[in-house]
Amino acid sequence: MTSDATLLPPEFSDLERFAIDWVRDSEKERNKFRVRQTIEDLDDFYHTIFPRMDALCEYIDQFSLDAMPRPAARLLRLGQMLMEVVSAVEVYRQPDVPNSFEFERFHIISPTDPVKVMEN
Amino acid sequence: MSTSPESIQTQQSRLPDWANTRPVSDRYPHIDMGPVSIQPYVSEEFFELEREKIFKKMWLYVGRTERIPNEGDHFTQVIEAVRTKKDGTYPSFIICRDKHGEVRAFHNACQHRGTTVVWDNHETWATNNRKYFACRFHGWVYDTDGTLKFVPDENQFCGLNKAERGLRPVHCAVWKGFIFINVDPQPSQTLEEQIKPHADLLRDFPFEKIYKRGIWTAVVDVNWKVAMDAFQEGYHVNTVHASTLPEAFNGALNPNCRPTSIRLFEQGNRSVTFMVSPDFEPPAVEKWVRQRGSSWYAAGGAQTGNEFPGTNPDNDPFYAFDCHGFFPNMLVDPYVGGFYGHEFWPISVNKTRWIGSINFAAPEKPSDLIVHEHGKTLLRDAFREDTVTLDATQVGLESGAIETTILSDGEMAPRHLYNSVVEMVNS
Repeated sequence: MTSDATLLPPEFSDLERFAIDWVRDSEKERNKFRVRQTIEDLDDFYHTIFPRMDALCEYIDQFSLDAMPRPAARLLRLGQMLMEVVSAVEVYRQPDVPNSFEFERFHIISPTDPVKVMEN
Repeated sequence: MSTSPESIQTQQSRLPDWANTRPVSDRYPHIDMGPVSIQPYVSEEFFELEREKIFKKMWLYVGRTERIPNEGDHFTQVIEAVRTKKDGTYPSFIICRDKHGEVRAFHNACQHRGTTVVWDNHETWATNNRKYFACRFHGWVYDTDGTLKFVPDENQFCGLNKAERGLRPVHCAVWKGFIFINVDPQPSQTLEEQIKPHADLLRDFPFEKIYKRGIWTAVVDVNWKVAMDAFQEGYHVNTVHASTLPEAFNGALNPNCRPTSIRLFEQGNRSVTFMVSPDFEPPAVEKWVRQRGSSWYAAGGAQTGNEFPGTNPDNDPFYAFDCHGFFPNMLVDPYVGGFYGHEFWPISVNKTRWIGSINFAAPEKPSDLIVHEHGKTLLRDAFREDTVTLDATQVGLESGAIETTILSDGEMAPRHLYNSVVEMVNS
């Protein structure tokens, strides 16, 4: 359970500072967020969350996709955000893909993830 | 899974002899390997013939049945290429699961005065559910099986026979969850006949267990064949994908990302197989993802032993994925763990609506979604690189500075598409 003051489970308090801005529910939102950050911000997120990914997966896998508590769902979204930013950090070294098709003309229309979030 | 040096050597020995042969054209010696005219990419007259002889005659893929699982589920699809005249408006179609559970397709045109019945935006991948289709203009109501059910103020019409005024059906057929329609009132062949080589190869591929997870679209200022060609050869990988996939496909064994095998079929169908580089050392997060069961084809199939049935038909070493060219305008690319694909919808001779997508097995636990996100975003970023070449190619083709293109052995798929289209247009 989380306290009233935190958005993530207490054992992930080290990620709490990402729990508002970096939690995005769709691929489209995550991609839009990523390209608006600086590479320093993306590096900070990557280096903070990557060492925590095994624990993060272990935590969220306690739950069924049909009944995710909100704090666990936020962790899931943070994990997906790592996958969104990973190439920018590890390979491109800039927020968006170098030498690529215009961001505004490329439309992400991916289906929503099969996740059901339970409110408390 | 690591691969022992011996097995890499054994696999390497089964690769084509690229240094001394041109293996694809050697396999198909009857194909003229000379330069090809650019006219089919730039000529408005040729485009009109393509519309008449190909797009208005053949079965065209419009969506997966997973998009309309329940009775009354439907979406609309605008198909610009099947318009009835050169500069005409773009016809819309309703694809639905009717009240009997059958997948059906109709012209999206009210049989009262012709108005579009369902106004859903076809570009958002939206599926809606309705018990009836009601026309916004005068409120005529159709059942999901197309039957005209209700006409307001019906007794004011003379000679109205409701049985003759149902939504106009379009031929519709389903193969392994892929819905195709054919606007020809009397199709010259069945869907099964049109796609037979693919249906034979992919007979055991578990499409029914795999779902769309990523979909991306763009309107590009390029001929539809040029767009399709950008996704069916590996020659561009070294340059175009220098940022996203700098080493995954073109290591020492195959620095130019040549296909390991190609099968060419009648009627423009083809299948091409590509390999991964066994030297590829993935970055840190990709390594972590692979330990959790990567959904990403660069993880390789031949090395994991997890390839799905129906893939890698020639048992090529270092298998990565197959690229099935379903004539005319779809690519289906199975790999280990799923498939990705493309649709190329011609709007005009130099404008095309591209749709790319990736499909995975359903997630069993929440962290599977994180694993899937890795392959999804990496493929999407790579498609941002592919699409950047498209407008730039058409500009050059239309500039007057080039009369022919020249295609290498590894670019046999673009050549086969070209030859097939020219043959059909001239038939």
